[in-house]
Amino acid sequence: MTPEEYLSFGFGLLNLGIDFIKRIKAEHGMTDEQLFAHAENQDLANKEDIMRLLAL
Amino acid sequence: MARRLLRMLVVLPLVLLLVGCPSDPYRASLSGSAKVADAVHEAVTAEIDYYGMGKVTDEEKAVVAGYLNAVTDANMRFRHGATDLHNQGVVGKAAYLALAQVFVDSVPTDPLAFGYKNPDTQKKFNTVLGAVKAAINLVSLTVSNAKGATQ
Repeated sequence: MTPEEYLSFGFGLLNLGIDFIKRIKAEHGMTDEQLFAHAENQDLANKEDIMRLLAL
Repeated sequence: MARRLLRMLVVLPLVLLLVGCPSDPYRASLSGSAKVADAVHEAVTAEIDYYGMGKVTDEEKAVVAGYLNAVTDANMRFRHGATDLHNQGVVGKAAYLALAQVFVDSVPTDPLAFGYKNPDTQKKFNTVLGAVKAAINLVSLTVSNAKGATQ
């Protein structure tokens, strides 16, 4: 990878890291049931999106 | 430059762990699973966008979607397994750690090895799929750092 590509990759990871921290803060206010439901709903939505994408 | 990036790759997961160190193995499992689901969401969204822009070929789309589908299935199995353990009254780390290891081992593919014709796509997908792989690898670490009995 070139230095520019390393930089772009690094900034991309940094943004994802910041996003992760925001989500972790939100997660602290959730009960176990709410956290399970969040992950379950996200996985189900992901499955739907993946299947729709594969059908394109 | 490479050394700085490497340092960031090591420090970032540690910071994330310190910020979000969950209290018990079940909570840690749910937390890790939610982060995987969120990372997959980012990757699926990127794939839909890039495919719509014509920056992903049909073959590339199938490979990435197949990988994300496998990750999602494994994540659901892991989360449901952790909930079964919790409902059985299991509180020690060992059983949750074993489950987490099964999850990690069930998705051995390195998505950073995927190649794309478009260099812009390569950069974007190295980032979003790298985050998915990192989230999967963090599941075991998060569970092992949870408070509670080892057994």
